[in-house]
Amino acid sequence: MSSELDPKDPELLRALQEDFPVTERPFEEIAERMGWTEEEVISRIRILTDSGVIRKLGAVLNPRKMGYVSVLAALDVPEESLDGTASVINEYSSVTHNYQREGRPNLWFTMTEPDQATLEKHLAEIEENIGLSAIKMPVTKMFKIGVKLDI
Amino acid sequence: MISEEEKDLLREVQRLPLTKRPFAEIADRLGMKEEGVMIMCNDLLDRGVIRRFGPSISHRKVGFAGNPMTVLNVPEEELDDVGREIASEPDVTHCYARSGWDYNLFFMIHARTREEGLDRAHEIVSTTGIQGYRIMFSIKEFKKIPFEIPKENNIR
Repeated sequence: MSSELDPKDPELLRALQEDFPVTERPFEEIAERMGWTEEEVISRIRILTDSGVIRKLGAVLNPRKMGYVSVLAALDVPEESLDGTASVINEYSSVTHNYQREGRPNLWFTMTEPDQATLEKHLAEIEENIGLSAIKMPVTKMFKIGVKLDI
Repeated sequence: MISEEEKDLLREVQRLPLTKRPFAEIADRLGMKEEGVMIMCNDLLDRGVIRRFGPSISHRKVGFAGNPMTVLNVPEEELDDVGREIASEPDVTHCYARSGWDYNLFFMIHARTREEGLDRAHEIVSTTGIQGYRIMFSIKEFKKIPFEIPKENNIR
């Protein structure tokens, strides 16, 4: 187990992933399932949020069901301009993932926008700004998404 | 699709306040009743707008360091079967068909180490019989954030 976790954290993370209740006192309910106190649950979540283990706790949204559109895009960027190109892309708040990967193309990002026109406009801006054209890979079928981690 | 009222609610519930009664606090912010907030949340859950309530966890920080993206070139007529087969593997967290590139099926696995990730990716592909594929580990993470509705409508 990673050093960022306290011995009791995996149990808490599993419980939070399991079934987060929409009730007046959700943390009390989780605490009861685990045999902790409500205060312990809340304070430990705060610590894990501060250390970045938990990025956020709340509603996980399905952008498509709100009419949003997203695309995975990839660029083949010369090694020496990777950091600069990545910063240009990261300026858009609609970019949720941006990774350098092994092989070619080497820079991969996802962008999610309220409509197709905005998505295309922002992609075109990026391409113009960096002088490269991106491979655009929209999802055509979803087989599985974001299940629980076996922590 | 969602209403403006629902959008305002989603902006708040996508990041719950860490207090004993988070839905009551959100109700206060929105000028609603706690019960009304919970009813709307349950309705949005039923409609799939909210996938679930829960944490977004940093994979790396909880010990998952071997998370390759694997891409396959699958004949169109086999895409559904192969996609479903790969999705049924417990350590596969994402599996999508995509258009626009030389490979049309993408999956992610989460493993503790690079070696374990690599072994599992090869193993999963081998059960499908597909020959054309690539396993692509990330070298550097420039950004990774959960999708959220921006606080303001005027996103860049």
